[in-house]
Amino acid sequence: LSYRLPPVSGEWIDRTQIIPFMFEGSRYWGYRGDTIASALWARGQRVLGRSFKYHRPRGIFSLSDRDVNCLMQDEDKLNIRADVTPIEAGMNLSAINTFGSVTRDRANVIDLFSAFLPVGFYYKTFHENKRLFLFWERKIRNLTGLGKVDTSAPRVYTSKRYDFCDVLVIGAGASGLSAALTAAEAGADVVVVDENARIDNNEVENHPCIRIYLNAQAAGYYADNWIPIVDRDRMIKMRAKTIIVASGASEQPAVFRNNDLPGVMLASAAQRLIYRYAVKPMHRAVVLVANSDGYRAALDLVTYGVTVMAIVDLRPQYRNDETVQALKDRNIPIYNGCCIYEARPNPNRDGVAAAIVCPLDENGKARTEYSRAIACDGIIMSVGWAPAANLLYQAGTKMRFEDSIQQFVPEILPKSVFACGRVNGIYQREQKILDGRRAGLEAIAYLATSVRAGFVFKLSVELKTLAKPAPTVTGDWPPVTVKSESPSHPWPIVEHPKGKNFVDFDEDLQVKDFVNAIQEGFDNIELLKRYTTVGMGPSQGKHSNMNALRILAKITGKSAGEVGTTTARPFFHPVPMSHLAGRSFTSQRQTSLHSHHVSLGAKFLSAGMWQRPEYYSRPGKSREECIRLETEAVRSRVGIIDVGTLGKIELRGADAAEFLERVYSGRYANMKVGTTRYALMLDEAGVIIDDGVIARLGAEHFYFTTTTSGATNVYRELSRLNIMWQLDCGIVNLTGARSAVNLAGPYARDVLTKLTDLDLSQEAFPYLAAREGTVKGIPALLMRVGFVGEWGYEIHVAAEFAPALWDALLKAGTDCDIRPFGVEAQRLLRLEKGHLIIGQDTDGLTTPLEAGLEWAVKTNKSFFIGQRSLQIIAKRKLKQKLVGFMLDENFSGIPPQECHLIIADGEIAGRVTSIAFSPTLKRYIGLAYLKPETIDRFSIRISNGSFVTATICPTPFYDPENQRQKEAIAPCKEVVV
Amino acid sequence: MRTSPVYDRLQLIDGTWREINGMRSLYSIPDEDAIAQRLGIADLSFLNRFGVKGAAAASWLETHRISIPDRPNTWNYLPESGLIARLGSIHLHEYIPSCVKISRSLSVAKR
Repeated sequence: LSYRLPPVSGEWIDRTQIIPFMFEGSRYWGYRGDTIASALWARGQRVLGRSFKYHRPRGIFSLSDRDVNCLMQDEDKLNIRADVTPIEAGMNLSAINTFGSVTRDRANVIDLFSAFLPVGFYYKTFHENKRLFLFWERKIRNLTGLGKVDTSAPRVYTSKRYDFCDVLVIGAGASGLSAALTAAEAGADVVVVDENARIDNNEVENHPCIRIYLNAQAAGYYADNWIPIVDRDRMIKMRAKTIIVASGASEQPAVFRNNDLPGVMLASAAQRLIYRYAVKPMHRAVVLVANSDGYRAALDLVTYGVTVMAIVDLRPQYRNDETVQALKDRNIPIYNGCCIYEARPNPNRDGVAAAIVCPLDENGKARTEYSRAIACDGIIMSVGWAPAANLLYQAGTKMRFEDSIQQFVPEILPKSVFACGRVNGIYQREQKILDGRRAGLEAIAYLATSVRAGFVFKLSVELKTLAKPAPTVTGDWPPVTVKSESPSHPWPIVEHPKGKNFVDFDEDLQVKDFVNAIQEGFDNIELLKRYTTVGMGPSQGKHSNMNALRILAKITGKSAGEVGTTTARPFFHPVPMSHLAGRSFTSQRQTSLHSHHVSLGAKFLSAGMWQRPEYYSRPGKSREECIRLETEAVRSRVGIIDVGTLGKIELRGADAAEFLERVYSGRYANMKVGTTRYALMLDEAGVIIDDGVIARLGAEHFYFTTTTSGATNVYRELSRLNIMWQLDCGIVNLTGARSAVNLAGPYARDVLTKLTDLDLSQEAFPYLAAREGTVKGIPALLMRVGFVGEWGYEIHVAAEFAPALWDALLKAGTDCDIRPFGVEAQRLLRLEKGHLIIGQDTDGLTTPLEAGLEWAVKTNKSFFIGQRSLQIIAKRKLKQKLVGFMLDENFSGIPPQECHLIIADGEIAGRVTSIAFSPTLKRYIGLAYLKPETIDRFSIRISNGSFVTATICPTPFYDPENQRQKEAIAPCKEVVV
Repeated sequence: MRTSPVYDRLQLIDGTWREINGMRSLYSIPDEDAIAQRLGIADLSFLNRFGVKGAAAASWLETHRISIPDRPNTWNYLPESGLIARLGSIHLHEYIPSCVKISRSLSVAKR
């Protein structure tokens, strides 16, 4: 049995093209231009989905994006809105959230138990007894939910687009198109967005100044008129100079028992079925009305062959115009002052068999003693509208409730935002066109007055004369004529002792759920929303918020304006996650020595955004052997490591020293030119965030390093502080512009001597000194630092000289068997020396007091960041302290790893932060946080649950007297291997 | 002795090399005029350049009779050769090509 009508003038379907598709395992077909829902409805399929909670059968309700009765899945495409999605050949559709099939969903037995699942069920059940939560969570998660994610679906890239315009018109109804034309005639660059597939207006479509986005939603409002326009394939980020919101209104359901049965639909849905898709909504209809739109819809039904059994008008009186007379001429009974008390289901309970009509008493209650049943297979509802004002709310519009039309309308709009048409409370077609023109002129007038640098709007002389009469005050032009009727009924709600009179179709919320919630004290719109979850489904309240508000207002005795509305956050319309996801542009940096490392066999690791050599592989040698050989080279001969990834910052100016005094915890004002000093950076809470070495190159000139991963953030923070404090100094980030290598080992000086004229004697260039000179002719800054615990030089040069420097050092070191070493060897070498690594041996809460870095904090300074917090922390008992430890000398089992816990008396007493086998000491050494009261020998629990005993020992493990920085080493030449 | 940061990548290109300003540089490639007609990119790391930063940067440059761009992210030609780019409100960058020949190849790359 086909419900397809003979061709309807202006229909959107192409009858020459037949599209086959599958739904719930059966073959269907439709015409090109059909949506999934219209094609199925035309074939007589009435149950298109199941409700979220009670699994009730659902069919077409709004035939728009305003409800989710008909959510479907097409293989890996989830939550397709069948109402608005065009059919495509080969679609394999199924309704979501069913057990079995959409027509025989086994889970619909829940409908019978709905009395035991009242609103607030979750809160009440789990608040008292959390043990039940696991049981119920599993049950509820199985029974509810939307589509099933296919985790193996291929990745889809949805690139964003960017667009700009003078005037963005949202909504292509009568007022929106009028506004667009008005603005375009004045020469503005206009964009029109509409959620529908067609506009059908030649003048607009052919206008050179108008661009049109169809099948697209302006899905949110962000500051400065930044609107995400979402279509099926992508998001367009639109920046508009002005916005005209002509988004119209959403038709609202009447609330009566079984108002969700397939066959009960909004009048606008029935009209769309007829005029767009030439589908007869039903054979015999009862039409529930409360405005003249409903009579118009009834006449449309009659015209296209539907038998209208009766018109039921909620109002005591109606206006007897031409449309009403035409209906009366066809002997259609009109029951005014009546309601539909309930829709009686058919024997399968998946469609309508009759409408039960009752007169209303003066309190709006059904007088059931006078009820009558009118047989029908469909019910049409035309009882009111709610403005699609989400964008206006998000833009910060102040709205007021207009009693005469029972609707919120804009009262005070933001400067560059305008509204027209139904969202502005204007319903008659001629007035909507005028209202659109008014909004268009206001937008132009705004553009003309907001000419400023970079925002030049070219106005023709013609336009200036056109714009002149534009009013400055909204609301008094065009003159709002006296309304003969309100388009919306104030109380389209009928109570029923058996319930199932749904307010929110997404969440299966009935009238009694609201009554109960309000009685339990959730009597404010925000509380009511959270407790009942009204408007929190995928429809975001488009068909439910207004009726929920009316129920709350009635029970609390307030006006609708006093109750107010909640504001849907952007995006107020669900958007596929793939539209929001961005491509990942994780930057990967390579040092200027990268190709040198590659040719030396380096194995790389990621350090922050950098690729650094972990170690250099050698033929026939394991990773561990390679690392051991590298550490041995540094300890006994000389090694070289690329440390170009360190943050490198230059600071100049009269206040340079003062600046450092404030941002670092140590003392720098008294540093002599040509020296270096360790620097520790804290945040306001006194937590360690970075460290490095500061070199003083002049009275007003410093150069300092930061950690590799901290470079970007430290520079950003220092820039911020410099602007805030307004000190006389400037900072320059040289991280990328300069490179650095560390030449370390007993023969480091022998190697360097060959390449520089600098006096490298202990007297001329002592430990912790900084010197500027040349190395193989390359201008360089050299610092004698001891991170790895050997005599060494950190050599900083311009990045473009780094390859030349590296080659020169390797060549000069050939005699001493120089070896490049990687990050792993460096970690081990510094551990032997007891030096900690920020981020490994500290975490997001570690203070210098815990990390044993009190010596780097000069608390007697007048100010430094974190000082005040440290003073407070210092008065409290330390919770943990970083200590060195060793495993027993002959330990041979599975060693603990970083992050393994230390257990004392069955309690956690600390954790390991660093551990490694020291080839120099021939045993495992490490660093760990321990409660101060922990005894010297403690137990570490390793992954397999067994315990390893360790002993606290002082650091440095290696060279505690710092002998390696003193001149006692025989020169390289005398050691012949 | 200087090495361009993209030196390794440029090794893949079949072209002639020349030392300019102490840097081994890719000097020309086959069909470069034809390429530049559409869109070309050239490594100019060999150019000498320096940055000027600070509240007095603009006035200092003006004392050297250098006309500086008035807005960030814009640039001017320098009188002899080269150009000056404004990177921020108080940050300027100058690129001074060392020889005319190179500045011509720069203009080809820019076309």
